[in-house]
Amino acid sequence: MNEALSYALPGIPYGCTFALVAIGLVLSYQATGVFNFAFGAQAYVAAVAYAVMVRHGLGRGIAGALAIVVLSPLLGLAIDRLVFSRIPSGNVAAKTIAALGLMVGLPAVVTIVLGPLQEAAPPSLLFDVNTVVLKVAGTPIDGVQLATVVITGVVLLVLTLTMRLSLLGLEMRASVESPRLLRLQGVSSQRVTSLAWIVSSSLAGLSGVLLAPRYATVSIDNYTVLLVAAIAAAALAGLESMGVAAIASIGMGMIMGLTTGYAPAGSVWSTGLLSAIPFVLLLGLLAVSPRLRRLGQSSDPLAGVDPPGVPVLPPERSHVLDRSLRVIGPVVLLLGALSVVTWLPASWVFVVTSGLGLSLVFLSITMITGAAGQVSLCQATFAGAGAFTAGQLATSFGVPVMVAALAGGLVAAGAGLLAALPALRLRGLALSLATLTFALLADAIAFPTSWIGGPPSGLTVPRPTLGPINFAADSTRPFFVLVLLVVVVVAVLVRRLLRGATGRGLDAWRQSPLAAAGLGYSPNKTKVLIFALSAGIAGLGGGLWGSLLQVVSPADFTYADSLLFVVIVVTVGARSVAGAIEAGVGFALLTHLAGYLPNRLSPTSVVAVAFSIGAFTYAAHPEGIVEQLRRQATTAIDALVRRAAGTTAVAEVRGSST
Amino acid sequence: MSRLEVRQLRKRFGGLVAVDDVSFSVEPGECVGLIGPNGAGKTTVFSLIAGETEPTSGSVCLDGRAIDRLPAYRRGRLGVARTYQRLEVFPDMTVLDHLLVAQLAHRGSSGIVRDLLGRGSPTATEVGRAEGVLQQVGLEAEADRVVASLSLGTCRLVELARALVTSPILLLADEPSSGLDVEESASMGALLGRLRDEGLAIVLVEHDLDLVAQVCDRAVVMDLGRVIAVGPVSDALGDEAVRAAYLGDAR
Repeated sequence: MNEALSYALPGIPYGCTFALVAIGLVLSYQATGVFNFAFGAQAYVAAVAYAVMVRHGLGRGIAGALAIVVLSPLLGLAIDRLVFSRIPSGNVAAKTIAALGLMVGLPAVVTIVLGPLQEAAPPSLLFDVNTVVLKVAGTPIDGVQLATVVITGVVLLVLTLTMRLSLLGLEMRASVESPRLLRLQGVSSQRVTSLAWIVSSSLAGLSGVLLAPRYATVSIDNYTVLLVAAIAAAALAGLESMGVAAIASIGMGMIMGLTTGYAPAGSVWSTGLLSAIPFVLLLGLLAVSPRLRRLGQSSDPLAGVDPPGVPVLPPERSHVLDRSLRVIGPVVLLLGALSVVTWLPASWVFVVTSGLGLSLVFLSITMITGAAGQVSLCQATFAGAGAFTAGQLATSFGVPVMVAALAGGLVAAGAGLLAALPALRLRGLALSLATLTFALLADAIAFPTSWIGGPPSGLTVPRPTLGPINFAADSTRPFFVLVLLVVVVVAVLVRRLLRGATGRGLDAWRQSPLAAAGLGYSPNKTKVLIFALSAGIAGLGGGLWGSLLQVVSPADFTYADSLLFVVIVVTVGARSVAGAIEAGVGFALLTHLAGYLPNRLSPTSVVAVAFSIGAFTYAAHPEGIVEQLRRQATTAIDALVRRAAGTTAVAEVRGSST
Repeated sequence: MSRLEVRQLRKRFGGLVAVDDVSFSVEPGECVGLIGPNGAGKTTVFSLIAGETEPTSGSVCLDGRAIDRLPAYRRGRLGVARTYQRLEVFPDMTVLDHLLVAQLAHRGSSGIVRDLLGRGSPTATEVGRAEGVLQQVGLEAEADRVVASLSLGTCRLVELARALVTSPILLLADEPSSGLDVEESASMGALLGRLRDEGLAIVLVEHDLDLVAQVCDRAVVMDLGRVIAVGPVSDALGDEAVRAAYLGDAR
């Protein structure tokens, strides 16, 4: 018993660290209606700012105050005004995608501003991390831990009282339920929401600064780990009660303490299982709790009366443009492909091929996010499953790599089926959380296992040989042709699905599940098949991509890649097959081009920022930037055509009158 | 054998009994009005027949076959079609697309294999049928318009057209005239009458009692979850209990 206590007790301050974040998640959800995936990134920004100011000799108090009371509120205000205030309250998918964009973009901005080197941990704001302040049942409690526990308690008390008892709290909750109703009551819902963002962002800043000394460096990864544990706790509380979220966090901290104590030390299972506990809890909860399944669904009684947005541009494209694209498109593509095969330098051939491989993974996002309207956050995991299967089969069992890649697709499809089981009952935000959990579980437990993810040095995925053609030849040209063929075949199939009964049915289901079912449309079988198919495509893409790289490791297929992929595809265009391919090749080319930027600017971050800004436009242009440009071109071309026609008509009239 | 037979249907939400011991039947070519004040449980009865909610007890039979354990989509395929009190349209789709997607859903199998073989798009027959129904309800001019840009009344017609395009054997129309002006309401009534005469069984939930009198042969009057009167429309509307429920107790 004493032993158990001595394992569980240190879990309490540990639990408090993510309790603070969990409270923040519940607060921002209650007060702004956004499930704020970017909360960890906001905390990270404040922590970095604090660390930099202290390093430059500013006092800890002043630096902390500047970070928490000035910078964080401004960041919150900016996020609200620039991003979320432009998204209609009922559009859950757009909110989720914008938050993901911030989650990807904010750390990238920090990297661009400060350079790629990570800040060393700053000294603690309140107490020292190395001082043992007191001992509880023989367990030493250091300064940061004590401060965390105390501040968590105070924050919880103040916020709960504010949200429950004050008029402001009532207004915040009302503005989430229905901003229109609140406006009808004569309250500016915009002001209330901005205030809510300021408060929740300050809380993010507080947790960021407070927790920074716990780690060796100030790194976004630490805050992401905190965030996902906090997500589990916040979900446990149904995103409703900050108190329950805090208690759940502390409970989880204690369970994690116990697990560390009793699990055999050193095995992947002990470390993996430890980090997996919150996810397992979350996944189980999502499966059984009907309240969690409804997470994030709009309850605005006036949502139905939302006037349709003014159609800025016609959804149709100009026939002139369409016809010319139909001619010019293939010609350009053919010329492009020919250039790659003949004269393009080898490094560029590699880039284009990797873009094509990626576009297969992106096509899987087109199916789920574009057609079914659901945000899946584990597509990179499926790609990884495919790549690792291909590598293991090819290296350990001597299976030809193309067969192995197809098998990888099948294994990934199997994983997709597994992920689809909870997805059957979930949609919207709950589905996104479940898939994120699935990705994190794979990152923590499955991929680090050597018979899956290969040795630490990386898993070899050889290039294929096909009769006399050796695709491993020093140039990537033959392999490019192979990947291109696969992409074309898959693209045609996905296009048929989207244009056929499946795509139309999913479209109907996305817009009104009730009416779709009433028409005789059964979403479950289709959802499972779509999940499995898209996972299979991602797996095949992963296998080919791995074969291009020739060595893969778990670091190539993390949850963070899944997030970035979704952001990229949505930005470029998730509704069409062309969008996925443009996104894949475009991303590869942009990243390569950004390599020519001065290193100081950290090129990959520039690309990440560009795409995350693009993700903010999802609410206004769900069709994506490329399609959006085409429609803009349509209006321009139509105007030109009309003007040309108009002038001839006028000329004819004049001609007849003279 | 009745087209629809509802027997002792009961639905309890926690402590509230929303539908209590409701029984009625509808014959082919008959229109039955389901009327009553707000909160009487009419829409819940529709949800129970369409399969969106499970009954606590009681049974629903379509052509003698018990369908109350079937999921909504199976009932849809058996020919139960409905329109909704709160609009359930697909805002991003065109009017024509609504009718095409309805027919695709009725093909039965999920059709993924058919799609992959490139044979998933609507056939010429299906497009023709959709255009025919649009003409029938007077929407042919709006076929290519995106539904989000249409008025409420037009959206109700879209829902009706979408329900009709699959050739249902039972139509549940939930307040089809709400949001329509007098003229539109009259033409809605004429349309429902024609459908009834063509042999469709219709259950009509409606507050516009003139419309009910115009289209329905019989009325089932509900109040607080219970059936308080059944019979020919004029008799049912003249019933004391019905007047009390609608207009308040005179005593």
